[in-house]
Amino acid sequence: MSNERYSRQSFLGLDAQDRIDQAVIGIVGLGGGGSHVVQQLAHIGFQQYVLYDPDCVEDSNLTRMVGATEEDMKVARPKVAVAQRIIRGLQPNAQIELYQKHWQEVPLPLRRCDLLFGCVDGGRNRRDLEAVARRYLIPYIDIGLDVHQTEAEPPIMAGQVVLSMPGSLCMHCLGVLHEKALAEEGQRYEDAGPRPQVVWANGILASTAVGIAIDLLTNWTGDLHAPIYLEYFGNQGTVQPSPRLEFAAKICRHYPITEVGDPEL
Amino acid sequence: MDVLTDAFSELQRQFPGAKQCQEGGTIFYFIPSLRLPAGCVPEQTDALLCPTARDGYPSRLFFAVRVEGPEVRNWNGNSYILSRQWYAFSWADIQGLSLVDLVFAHVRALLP
Amino acid sequence: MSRLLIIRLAYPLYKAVKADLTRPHPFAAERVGFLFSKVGIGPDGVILLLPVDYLPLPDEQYVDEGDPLIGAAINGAAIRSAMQRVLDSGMGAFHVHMHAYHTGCPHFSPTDWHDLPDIVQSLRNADARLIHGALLLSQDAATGALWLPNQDINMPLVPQVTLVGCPLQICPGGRV
Repeated sequence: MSNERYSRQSFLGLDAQDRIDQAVIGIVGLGGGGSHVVQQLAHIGFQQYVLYDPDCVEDSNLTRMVGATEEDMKVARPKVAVAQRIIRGLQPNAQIELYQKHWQEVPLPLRRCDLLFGCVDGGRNRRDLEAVARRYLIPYIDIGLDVHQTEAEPPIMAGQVVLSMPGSLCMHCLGVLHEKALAEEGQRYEDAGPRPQVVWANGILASTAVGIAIDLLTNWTGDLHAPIYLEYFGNQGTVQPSPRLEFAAKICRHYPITEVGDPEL
Repeated sequence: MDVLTDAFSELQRQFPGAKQCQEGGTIFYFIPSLRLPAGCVPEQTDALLCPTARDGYPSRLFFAVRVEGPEVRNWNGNSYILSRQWYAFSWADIQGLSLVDLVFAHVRALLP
Repeated sequence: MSRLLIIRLAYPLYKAVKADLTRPHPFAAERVGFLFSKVGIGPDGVILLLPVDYLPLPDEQYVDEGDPLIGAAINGAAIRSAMQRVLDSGMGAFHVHMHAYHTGCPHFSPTDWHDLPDIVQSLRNADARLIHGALLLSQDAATGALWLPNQDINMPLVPQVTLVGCPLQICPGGRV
């Protein structure tokens, strides 16, 4: 791999590319948000991936799943295979672990990750994923998008990017996860189901998340602090820190730093 | 002893080996090898009691496997808790009971 | 895939350890403490060590060897307190000190490599079933040395050490 390729991102620091090389990145969910994340990480130069998605490409994915083609849809190609193709096209020597399963079915590989992206649907899924990240001391970056449709008004498109750092506030502390919303999800007796999603909004969220990851690994700004909770307002086209940060507790009471490692069950 | 310790002690007396655990700010009670009523397959399995509101249920009993019981239930509660996969069926409004009685009430729901 | 050993130290504990280790001592050039670690098992035999507790050593548990080349020497009471904590907690112990004038991934000194096996053997005497070892901090990174149960005391393993916080600092493992 020539140094020239990464010359335009050399401002990230002298050892930035080494740090990027060394990091093992987990990405759970390779649809609208996760496909953007994979593509960007591959461009930047990441070499070690642990990827999860149980699904195959469907027609409705083609509006927003980066890298997916009509041919993928016709042959019902697994999303993990599409992600692998994207990575290999840029990083032919990358180490890629693929799991065409729900992460809960094969959870152990997550534990080896240095950094975890959650690009999943549903509060319960992201709650359980954050719990694993906290238990094994893995920084967790979560992205989510919702479009709320009401009868009288235009739809409201909103999303968030959260950095949940062990030792700092979690998504429960920040109000991203709360029992009321999880209860509503639970009452539906089904998965989160098809949710409105659009490629440009997913791209904004994924790019923001990748930017956080790069700063975390390279410290190029020298000014990254956890927690990070950015709210995206799609109608206005803005991304800004959530006002909830101001009112959140100072210490996470949901994940004491002693509650780590394999539980003794 | 306080009332919470009393409740846990009672649980441990009824289910030897029971442990109190916590994750994500929620207290769970792990019950190893819970023996299930006749007609259930398997006959025993690990269980995890969540006595507080979770996912819209006032309490929940998770099992290590989807139990086949005499009554068919809607197993809608797949969860990954304490580094294990757990399964729960939909059975609402079991609340206001002691820990032991919560377990019994959920297990009884496997029967007609 | 080869076995991989990873120590992950979260910033709140890391900062507490650094704060203790950088306190001045009446005669020791360096301070020493012990971290105690929980364990997680990953895929393909990966072992994660997750320190959760720290034992600082009081001033009186240091020994003045009168040798300027020795950063810190600790007495039997210090070792015994670490051993007792191993017995009480059921967690493996890691001798920890700091090379405060260095940045980046540090390296154990020849003195460190000479002294650590005896310390680890003492910790093994408390509980040989646990993983014990050592952690060395620099200003902004850390490295480690591990001894698995039944491992030759003269052949430590060098784990990846990750300081988990902002920034995320990874020192890769490798050979001694």
